[in-house]
Amino acid sequence: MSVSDSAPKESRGLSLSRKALLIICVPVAFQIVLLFALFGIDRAHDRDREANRRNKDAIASGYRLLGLLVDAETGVRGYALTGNPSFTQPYDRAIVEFPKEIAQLRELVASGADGVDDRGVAELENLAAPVLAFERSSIDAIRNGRRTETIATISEQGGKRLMDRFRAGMDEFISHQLLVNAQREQAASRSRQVIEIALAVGGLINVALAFCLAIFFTRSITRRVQVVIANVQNVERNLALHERVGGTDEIAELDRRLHAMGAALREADEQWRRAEADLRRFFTVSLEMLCIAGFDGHFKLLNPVWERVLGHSLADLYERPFIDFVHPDDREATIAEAQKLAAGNLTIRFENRYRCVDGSYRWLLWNAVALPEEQKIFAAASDITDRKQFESTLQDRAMALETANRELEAFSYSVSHDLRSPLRAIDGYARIFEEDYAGSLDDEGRRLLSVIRGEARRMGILIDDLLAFSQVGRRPLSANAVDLGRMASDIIADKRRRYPDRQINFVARDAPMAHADSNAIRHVVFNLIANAVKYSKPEAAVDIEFGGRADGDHNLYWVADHGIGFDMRYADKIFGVFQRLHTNDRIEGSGVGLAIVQRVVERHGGRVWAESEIGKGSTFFFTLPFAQNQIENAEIANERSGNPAG
Amino acid sequence: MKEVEILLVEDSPQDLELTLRALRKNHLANAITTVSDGEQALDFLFARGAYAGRDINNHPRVVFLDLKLPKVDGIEVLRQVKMDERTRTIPIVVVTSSAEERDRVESYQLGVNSYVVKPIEFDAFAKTIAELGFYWMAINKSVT
Repeated sequence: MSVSDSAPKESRGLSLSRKALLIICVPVAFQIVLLFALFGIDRAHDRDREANRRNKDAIASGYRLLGLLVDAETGVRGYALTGNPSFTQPYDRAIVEFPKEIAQLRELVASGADGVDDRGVAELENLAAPVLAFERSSIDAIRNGRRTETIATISEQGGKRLMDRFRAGMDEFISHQLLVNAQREQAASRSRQVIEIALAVGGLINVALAFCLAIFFTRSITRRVQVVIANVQNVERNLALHERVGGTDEIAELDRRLHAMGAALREADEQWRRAEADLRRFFTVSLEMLCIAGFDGHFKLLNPVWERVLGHSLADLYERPFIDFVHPDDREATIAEAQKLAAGNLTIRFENRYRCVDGSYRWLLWNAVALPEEQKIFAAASDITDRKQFESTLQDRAMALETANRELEAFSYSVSHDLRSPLRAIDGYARIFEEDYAGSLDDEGRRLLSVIRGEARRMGILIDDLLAFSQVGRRPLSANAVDLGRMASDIIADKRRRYPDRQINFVARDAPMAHADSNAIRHVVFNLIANAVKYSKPEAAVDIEFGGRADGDHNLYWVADHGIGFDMRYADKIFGVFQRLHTNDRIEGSGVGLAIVQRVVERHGGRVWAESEIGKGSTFFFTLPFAQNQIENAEIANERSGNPAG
Repeated sequence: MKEVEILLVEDSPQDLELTLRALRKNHLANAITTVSDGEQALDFLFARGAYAGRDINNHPRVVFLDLKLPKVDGIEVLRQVKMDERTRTIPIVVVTSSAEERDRVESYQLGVNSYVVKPIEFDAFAKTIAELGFYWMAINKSVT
């Protein structure tokens, strides 16, 4: 098992192309090796056969040599016996042929791979040489007439001995050649056998090798490819993937990427799911009425707020075209708006009324956008009924306020005209009475008439002050740089002219320029100085000081005196209309002056207050903002709080 | 000598009496015509209605005009007189109880010749009327 396990593991490490190469190359290489081996064996076999052929040639050559010598000897014997020289022909042929034959034999033996070497052939030559020499001498002896002696020599078998020795050498040579030949035959037969076996075994091994490789690679490729295919299907169906196939080849890489893709898809899917859930949560908890409507005029999706606001069940709202719920007066505009939406426009702050289950209507404020390719409208609506009612109430109130202001103005105008005329008449007729009937009046009568006239005048002053107060609140302000110190000096000069018998000491400290409406602010300075004069200690010099400085985002001014002062408990009261802290008739005044001061300062966005001690004097402070816009803001605030400003 | 020296437009009988008394005391009441509303004032000045026989070109030397009048108010009278070529040269003095800036501004915009607020105190009132009379009768030189 461990072997079969490790083999595919190793093969998994190879790339597919390498595996393919292995499948092809290993059997081919084996085949080539086998072929070379067979080729080698075959070559050896051929060499053996060639050697055998030479063996046989050598044997034949041996026999021919033997034949030549035997023929020569036999011929010489015949010559000896007969004396016929023609018997010497075989000897002559042998003399010529023998060396040729020996040379041929030597060549055959020398080129033979094995067998008899040169020595064997040389020995044969040595053995043949005495035979041929004996035959020569025999021939020569016969020719010299020693025929009988020669016959005797031959009979003594001298020639035969030499011949026998040659024959024995030749026999040994041939038998050796035969032996070698037999050995070679045997070897050739063995190598043929080897070839056959090698062919069969090699073929088998080759097939087995190919089979094994095929199995190994099937294990490492086909099965893993199947896993990958299954994984692809799982990704397709969004299922969990099989475990990773091992290895580092292309299949492993493919599988790795597939897992990565699967993970990315799952992650994206999860994110989408979460986002969708988040949106759905918003959809559910929204205070706005959210909806998706189709171009077919029906709602497709509504959040629960719809039920809450309108009282209809969602099922009812889905069932009927939404236009059915729209107020009949708003339907035309709603359809037009829906058409604009379908044409690709945004709906921003469109308003219409929707019918509730109880038959009442709610005002809805819409923002919407269409998705024409899906034939859908996405819309959000707010229930603005309360705001509408509030606006309507506000409008009613604004109108009521305007009416009230108009009436107040008419009243003020009327007061100005109509209340003064009778006073003039009272004073005038009393005066005429005084003039025309002076003779019939005693002192008491004249005193009474004088009281009538005095009270008429006082009433006139009250009316004038009241009108001034009302005007101060209504006239629009136009702010400029105003030198309040200079203004105070002018007013003091006027007071000195008016009260020549009073000593008025005035000190003007450095004060910043004020940013104010000069006519209006004059009321302030005038009234504060007038108060200081009015409430001075009788029979004493009047000491008045004016000063100012920058303080934060505004200027602070003050008018101080050393007069009779007042009780700080009433410090807030003194700025009320007709509020007087002193009932002394000696002090003239309507009680409107400080109310005018307060009104003017507040209209400028400033503040006024007083500090005082009875018997020591009073100091009145007021502030004015630096900048124009603060005055305007104060103006706006005043208008909102209902102060008429025109 | 003009047919009418002063046209006095005044709806309040008391004010009328006091005014006439002040003028009389100063011997200025010789040729005074009084009317008590704006319509009569316009009829007189444009020689129509009750005054149809009058010569429109015979202008009074001065008109003392109250603003708060029945029917047609003083501002409207002033507007019509000053808008019309035939009457625009007639000197008109608004004599009113109103110290309202609005009235004052509008009157001057319409071309009033003087604007006087009636004082409440009779002595001051009498003095004011007397001075007005003197000025317009004796000092001022009119167009015609």
